[in-house]
Amino acid sequence: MFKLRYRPDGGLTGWLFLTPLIVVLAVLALIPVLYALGLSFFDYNVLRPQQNKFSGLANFNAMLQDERFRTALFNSFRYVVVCVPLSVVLGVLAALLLDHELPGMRIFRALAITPMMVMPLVVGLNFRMLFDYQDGLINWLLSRVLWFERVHWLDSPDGAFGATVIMELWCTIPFVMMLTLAGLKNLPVEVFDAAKVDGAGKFQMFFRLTLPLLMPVLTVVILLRTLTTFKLFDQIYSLTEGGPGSATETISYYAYVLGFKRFDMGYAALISYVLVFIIAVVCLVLLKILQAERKQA
Amino acid sequence: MALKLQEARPQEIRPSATVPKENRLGLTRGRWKRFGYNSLVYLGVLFFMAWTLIPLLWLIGTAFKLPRDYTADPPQIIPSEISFDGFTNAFGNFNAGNYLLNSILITAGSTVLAIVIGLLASYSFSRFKFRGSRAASLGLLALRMFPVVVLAIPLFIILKTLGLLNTLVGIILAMQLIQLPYVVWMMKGFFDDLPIELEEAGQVDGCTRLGAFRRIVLPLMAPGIVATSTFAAVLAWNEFFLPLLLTQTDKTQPVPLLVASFVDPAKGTLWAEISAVSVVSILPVLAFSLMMQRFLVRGLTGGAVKG
Repeated sequence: MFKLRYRPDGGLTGWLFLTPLIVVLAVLALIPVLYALGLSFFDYNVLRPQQNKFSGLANFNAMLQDERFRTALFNSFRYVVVCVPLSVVLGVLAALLLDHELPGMRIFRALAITPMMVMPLVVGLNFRMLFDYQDGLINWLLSRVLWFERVHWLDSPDGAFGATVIMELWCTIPFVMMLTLAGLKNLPVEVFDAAKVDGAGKFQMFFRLTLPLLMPVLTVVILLRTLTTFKLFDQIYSLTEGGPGSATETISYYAYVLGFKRFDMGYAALISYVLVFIIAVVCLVLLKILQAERKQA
Repeated sequence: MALKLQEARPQEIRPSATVPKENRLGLTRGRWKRFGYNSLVYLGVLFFMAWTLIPLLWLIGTAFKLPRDYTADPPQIIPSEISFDGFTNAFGNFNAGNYLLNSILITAGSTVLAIVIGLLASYSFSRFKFRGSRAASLGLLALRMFPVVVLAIPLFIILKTLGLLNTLVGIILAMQLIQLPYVVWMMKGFFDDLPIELEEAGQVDGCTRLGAFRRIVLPLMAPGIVATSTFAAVLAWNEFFLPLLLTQTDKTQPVPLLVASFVDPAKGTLWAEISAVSVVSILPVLAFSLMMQRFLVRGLTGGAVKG
């Protein structure tokens, strides 16, 4: 497939530098990737190894009938559609606020990225305490301070979805903010001075200048956010365990349940592949849209 | 040192921080306007800080709680009685020190390995134009789309065949799956920033390609390498799923698995212990990341932003 050619500035030497990567990833990634692809055509259950057999498209047919798979797929999309735009908008807003050179801002900027450092598992557990119906801080604030009703965060489907979204925003807004803040620092000052001389207003400047100039950074941010939100697992595992029922179950989580609780490896591999395919398509489409947008601007 | 390489940035007036023009007549009005505007900014920041810090303070507070205060009404961010039981129990009875050591060994080992492999690979992607280079880097990108869950099944079987299940070596190798795509991507960005003329000059002066790499490129890449290591280390340090699957004995298990084992609805979850261990394990990560923030940003955007 790839022809090895020696060229003064490439070819063989280039491949030599790549060798360690290729060796390690061939064993650790390529074999598993192909193995999983193969598995998805098998009826493969660890609990009864003697009955494992090639089953063709049986897993695929099962998937089309599987109500729980549809719920998980819907949930994965729901998280992306809700969490990604919210975290980008709020993250950019936070960055714009923290971009002011006012006393204390340096400390606030440092404090603002701390949530990124907490283990996702711990984030989930911590929010499990905060969202507790009886003893949680959030319900206490709602009922005693703001005079709302207590919310059934973790034991109602809508509450659990809301809780996971809030937790996800808590972890990801700092990420968006950090990268946007860096993007803002790189903007050419001259352009803004010129705009100011021309009498541009604040909002006009933001939508006509800042936002288009930030697009390269935001493209990367949006893509990374989409990619990781589709793969959401640790936090779901520790906050809701996919529940109640399967209300917050994502494809990643369902694949985990199938593979490591029911040991139905073949089917788990298949739905994981479906997820990879979806992520690839969504990312490509997003990239095209974002690039088109950039050209327009 | 890495930090000294930051170029000094003149403190210009930022575009978004408006300084209203002070004309002769409207001086006081301008001042009031600026005061009002700044107050609004601080108000926004205050909200954002409350949202960010209250859950964190809750975590820290819980580490010092006695079990009877878990259900206190009103909920206590600062516990009524400060207790170190969470820490002593976790480190005394549950061997948290041992898990921390495993975490350190796994993180250090996997990060060093990923950096060595990634350094060579990203240099190749950045400097050599050859057939298959693009395909290889696209493959690496595609790897990031795979949920670890799907790779874990075959990985489990492979490591079992190699006899590396429940060993530090096995888990260090497995971490490469998570770290390498990021490491290569970040470092390629740093290499792209480095003018190729430097190496060519070195080669003209009689260095071999590898000699130029070692004597000229590596020293200049130091900040990039440190930033990438920090990011890769955080990935390994926080990873929960791979160790959950690949290590079944507490001899090789890292911190996240200990934390998960404290969750026990039947006997009552050990919240203070969970928080105590978490707080201890966050500290090194926090210190490193704050030091390396500038370079992290630059690397994460693959050079789209110069931090």
